[in-house]
Amino acid sequence: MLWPEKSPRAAQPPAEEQILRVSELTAALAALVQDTLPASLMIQGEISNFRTYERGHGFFTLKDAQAEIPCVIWKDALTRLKFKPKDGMAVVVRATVKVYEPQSKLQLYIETILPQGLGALELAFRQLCEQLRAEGLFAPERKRSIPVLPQRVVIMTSRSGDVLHDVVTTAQRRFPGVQLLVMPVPVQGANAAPRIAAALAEINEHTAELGGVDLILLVRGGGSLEDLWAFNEAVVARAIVASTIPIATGIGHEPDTTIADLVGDLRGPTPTGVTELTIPDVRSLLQKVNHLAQRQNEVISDLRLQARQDLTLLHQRLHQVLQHDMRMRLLRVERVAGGLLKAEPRYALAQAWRRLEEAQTHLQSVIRHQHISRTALVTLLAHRVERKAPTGTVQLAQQRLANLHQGLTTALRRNMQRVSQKLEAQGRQLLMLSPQAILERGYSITTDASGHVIRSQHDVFRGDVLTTRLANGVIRSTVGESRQGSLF
Amino acid sequence: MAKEEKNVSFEQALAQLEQIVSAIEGGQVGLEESLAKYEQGMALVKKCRTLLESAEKRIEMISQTDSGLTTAPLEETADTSKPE
Repeated sequence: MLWPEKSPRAAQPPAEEQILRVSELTAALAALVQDTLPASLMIQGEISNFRTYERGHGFFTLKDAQAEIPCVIWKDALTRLKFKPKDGMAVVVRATVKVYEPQSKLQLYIETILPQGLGALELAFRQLCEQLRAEGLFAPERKRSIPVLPQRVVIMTSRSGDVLHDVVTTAQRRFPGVQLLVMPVPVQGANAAPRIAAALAEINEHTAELGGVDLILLVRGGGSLEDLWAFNEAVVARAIVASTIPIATGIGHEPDTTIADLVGDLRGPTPTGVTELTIPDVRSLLQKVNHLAQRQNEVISDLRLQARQDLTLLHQRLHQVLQHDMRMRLLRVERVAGGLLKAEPRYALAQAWRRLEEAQTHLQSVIRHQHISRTALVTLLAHRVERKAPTGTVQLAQQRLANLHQGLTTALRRNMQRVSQKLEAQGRQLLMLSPQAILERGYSITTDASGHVIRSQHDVFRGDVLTTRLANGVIRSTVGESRQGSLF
Repeated sequence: MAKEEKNVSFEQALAQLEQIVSAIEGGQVGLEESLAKYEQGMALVKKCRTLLESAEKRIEMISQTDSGLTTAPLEETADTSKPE
């Protein structure tokens, strides 16, 4: 019931002739409104002329087809709204009607505005989505890639509940060596969003102290839109965007998609789901590695075998080539040695002797042969001569020969005599000229001590020893005096 | 981040390993180079195995200090109470 019968505070109706002051009237009106109407009303209408001023308070008119009423919504109530009121919105407001006494103005003082047709939260969600999408924050290109093997992972979630346990178990099952760091945060309630945003910032700022962080898992279990609302707040979205560490989200159940999921680098359907998407099963990675190792080993094994075979083959060929080469060289050496041997003097000499002996033998046989034939020829000729020779002719010739022989002999004898006479004469002459003959005639030869023949008095000095040779002897004398003068 | 280096090197290590195996399987690489690559490959295999096979379970709690953050070993309890 909208209008109570009568409130105890109702002012006494003024007496007919009572004169009121304006302020008394407005006060009475204010009281009337306050006492008559419930403290809080729900009014439905359309927003128009919505504006905010410097202080942050909002003013608008709420109207329907027939009437309108001015509204004011204080700043704190306005910020508590998840969405932004806009002109034309059909809304239901919870408000108090009050009279602004100084101007006797009737106003609705709004506690909260509920959009009609769409929940406030859904509306807020849509509005923030539009805004962030327009800023490009949902773009796939912006998303950071999740490392293949994250080794240090921060789990950001509520300290209580199953989620933490499930995520830890899943992560450690898949990658036993993973290093997990738990960052507890409230995941719903009014202070959840700011605390989550702050925690994300802190982790980014203090990564080094934490030993390096490869991945943040931002997770929360299932709940209503209101329960999950923190993850739709702008402050969380911006903290996720600002993070340099990749962030993977797993919020609520599969169909729940929050703004955090949309700006995050990877979305999982649930907390466990996102853990499985980001933490690999190391067994399959190990298999991959082992398989690669095996392939490698096989290839190298084959290569080694091939190389060994090639080497053996080459070795054999080399051996053959060397042998052939050696044989060739040996043959050449033998040839040269043979040549040298033949060029050796003894060899040549022996050869020459042999040839000589052969020639000698041959000559002897030829001579014998010729002798026989010549003897035969002479005998033949002798026989012929004897048959033809006239004896008289021969005797005549013999006589002439004898005469000539005698004549020759006589001539020779006469010649001989003449010659020997001449010889004798010349001998005598020669004898006369010999030194001995001269000496016998009385001459002498004088020599000095050294055997020089003295020819002049100038050759000697007083006291010199002289030797004089005579025909039959020798005189030794000493020089007394010498003087010039000739014999004739 | 030092850890990031180690982490990137797992992906890199795996990628390099695949590259090496393809290269020597391809047969275009000479014997000596193949052996060198093989050695590299085995070192990478070892590195990857070390990273993957570590089994020591490590979980710590982060708490805030005046100057920043610190970690402390956590005894993980399976708390089944519903979230607030």
